[in-house]
Amino acid sequence: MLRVENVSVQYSAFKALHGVSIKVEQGQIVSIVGANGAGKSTLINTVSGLLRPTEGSITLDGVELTTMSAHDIVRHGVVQVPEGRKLFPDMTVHENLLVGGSHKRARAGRDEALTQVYDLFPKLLEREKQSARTLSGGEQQMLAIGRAMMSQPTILMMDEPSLGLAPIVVQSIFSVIQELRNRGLTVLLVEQNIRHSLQISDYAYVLETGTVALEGTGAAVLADEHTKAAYIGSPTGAETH
Amino acid sequence: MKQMKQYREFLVPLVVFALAAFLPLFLKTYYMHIAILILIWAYLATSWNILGGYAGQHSLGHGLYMGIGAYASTYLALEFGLTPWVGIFVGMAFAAIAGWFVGYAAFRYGLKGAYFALVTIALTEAAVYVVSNWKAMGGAAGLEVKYLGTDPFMMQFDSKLPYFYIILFMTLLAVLTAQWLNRRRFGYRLIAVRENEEAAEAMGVNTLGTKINANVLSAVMTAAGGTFFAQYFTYVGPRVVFGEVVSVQILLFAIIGGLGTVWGPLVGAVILVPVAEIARAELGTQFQGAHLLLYGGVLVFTMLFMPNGIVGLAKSIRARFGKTPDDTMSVSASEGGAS
Repeated sequence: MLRVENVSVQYSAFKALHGVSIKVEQGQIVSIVGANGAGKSTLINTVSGLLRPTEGSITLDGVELTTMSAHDIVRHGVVQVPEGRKLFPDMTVHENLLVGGSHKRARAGRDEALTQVYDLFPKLLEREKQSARTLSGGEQQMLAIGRAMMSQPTILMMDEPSLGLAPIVVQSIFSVIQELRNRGLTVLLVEQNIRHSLQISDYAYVLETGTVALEGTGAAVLADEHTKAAYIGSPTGAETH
Repeated sequence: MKQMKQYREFLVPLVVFALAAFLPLFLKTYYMHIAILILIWAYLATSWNILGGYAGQHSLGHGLYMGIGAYASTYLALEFGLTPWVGIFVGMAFAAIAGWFVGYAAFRYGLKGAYFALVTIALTEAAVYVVSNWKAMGGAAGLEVKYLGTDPFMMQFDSKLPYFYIILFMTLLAVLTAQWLNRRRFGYRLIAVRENEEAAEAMGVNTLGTKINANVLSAVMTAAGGTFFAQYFTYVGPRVVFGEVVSVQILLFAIIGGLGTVWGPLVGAVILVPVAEIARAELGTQFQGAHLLLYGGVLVFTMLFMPNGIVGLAKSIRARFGKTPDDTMSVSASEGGAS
């Protein structure tokens, strides 16, 4: 359903992506893995419309996204959970969620979406009236996911959802991702926690300095010698933020 | 049930303003004048606060819209005998157009923070010079509202009482608008833009449209204040209603009272206007501009010691002694918000 074809992105003098192509099919979890600076976030932000590609095309079910404004892309069903969560810290949990569901298409089903989010994250319901800044790191991540779900997306893109979280919380975030897929969402996951994300992925791409170095099913990429040597075996494969 | 709650949030402003309506029973003429001044500035600051406080776009050029409102109604009254009751809406319409253009021009090209502030100062300063050299608008001398004695049809009164009720009503409407924004989608969008514009856009908020709409709403409300200002002082001059002095004064009360709060601008004006007026009356002859010095001092003090203004301070005090979130959850928000 989502096709990124031959996309290049340039930041003034620096070329962050060189002709990257990826495919995401309905109901899959697709991972983009790679080291810091490989271009993973650039890719997600380009699909989101926050960055513009210098060449290539991005389509969702045949509809071109590269000419749309970022908020229109959300309306078409592609939304991201940004790196570092980027919540609205002084707004309450409930208000953060409402902003996520503020575009026209989402308004109709807003109450339903809200019920779904609270059903998935009962903690958020408990803290409904607290400001986002008072939440723990894991709860903030749940709120960021919930806020994105409020726009009733077909594709949820997650940028480093496990970043800066305790291992036990990371575990629960990954099971949430699987739960979302089971509920029919398609997930595009960007992670530095490579082993974990490959384990739950249907398909995966390894990005290296702005190009796709390797692709295959999650299991195949996980088993690949190069991946093992470059990311999994070494301590530098761990989070280095 | 939900319906009830919606009414309740408007109840507080309605009660406060209903009580304020009895003030004239206790106030002598001079104090009536101060009460009117308080309300004028509270009204203008509340209007500014929608753009500056809620959406976080600090316009230093709201004199532009105030001037448009003041000049439009005054000119139409002088030239065509049009009642300011209609002129006020003409001024608001012009301000809407100006607000749209300024908003589009500035926000379309991503002007933010200090750059947006600078552009708005430049525009209102430019307006001063345009109007100063525009003969039909009275040039540098400005326009005087023709004295007609008490003529309700022309929004003119010999007594202060009717002015008091007009501006009280206008301020009530402004406060209700702010209260309404506080709980409505458009208000959430404004705050989302203020708190993290890129995240708001990524969540599907049309940030450009939201900011332009905020500028238009704020401009329209400010223009209505301009018309009232002209009728009350029976004079408009380029420096009096346009220009950076009024522009800065408009936002002063909002900042001191509490940015982005419903009551901040009113509280700021209630506290500061009387003090400034007394300073002007007592020291004005030997020490011109004493009140401006005072504004400066209070502004610096506010920025240093209570950056969220008086209302913000009151809120955090209440939060401290009220319910506290559980300790394990008090993770710094820099993780979630600031990046």
